[in-house]
Amino acid sequence: MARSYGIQNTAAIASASYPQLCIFMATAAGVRPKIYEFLISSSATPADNASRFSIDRHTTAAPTGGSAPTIAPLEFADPAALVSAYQAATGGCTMSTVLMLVAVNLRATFRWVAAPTKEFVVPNTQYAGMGIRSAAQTGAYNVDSSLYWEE
Amino acid sequence: MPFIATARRPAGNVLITEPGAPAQEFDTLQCVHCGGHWQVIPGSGILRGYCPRCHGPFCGPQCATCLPHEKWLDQMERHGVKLP
Repeated sequence: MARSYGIQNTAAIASASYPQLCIFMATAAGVRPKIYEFLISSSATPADNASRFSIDRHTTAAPTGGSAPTIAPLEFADPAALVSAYQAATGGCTMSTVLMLVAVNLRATFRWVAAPTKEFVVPNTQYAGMGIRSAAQTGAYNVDSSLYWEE
Repeated sequence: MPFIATARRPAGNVLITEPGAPAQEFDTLQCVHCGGHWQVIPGSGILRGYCPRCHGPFCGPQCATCLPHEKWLDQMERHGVKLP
């Protein structure tokens, strides 16, 4: 049975060109991580600002410039995730296909959930990854995002 | 709460909540070739398609060539690149 994991990030957007919150294969670990849910919201003072978010694939190299968030297994007895996670990237990886595009107002909370077998799938290839990127913002503000996957 | 039920077999579901506004909920469909999701907007005029080999929708002209998502994943894992 697949194991589920989650990561969270709360910070201003580090780069519009790289993922704010992502998972990637540091090595081909023998799994295909499947993102089945993500949430986007903001803890900033409510104002009429908006961000355009995308779910992008990335390849070639590991993301750099940010940090690795703690990966939390949703079942506490599960072992550590085989995939790596990264937040606030400002370089490293090469962005690839855009898999979903949404624009979210600062005041709004956005939640997407996949139907079973319709998840975003990351191939079992070194440095293949996927994550949430904010491609554009009308003003700099704190974005709170969460990403859940199974592997 | 307005729910825009736009797909008979949705591939995903979105919920947007915002203070002072009713919650919005809508379906997403998944491209059988690239694996991407999009919001279903009936009458939007956005060009989508249906792949008779994969028996599912694809997201636009850029994905019209049939390369099933599963096969693309296999190719990525074998070669590390997307083959035409």
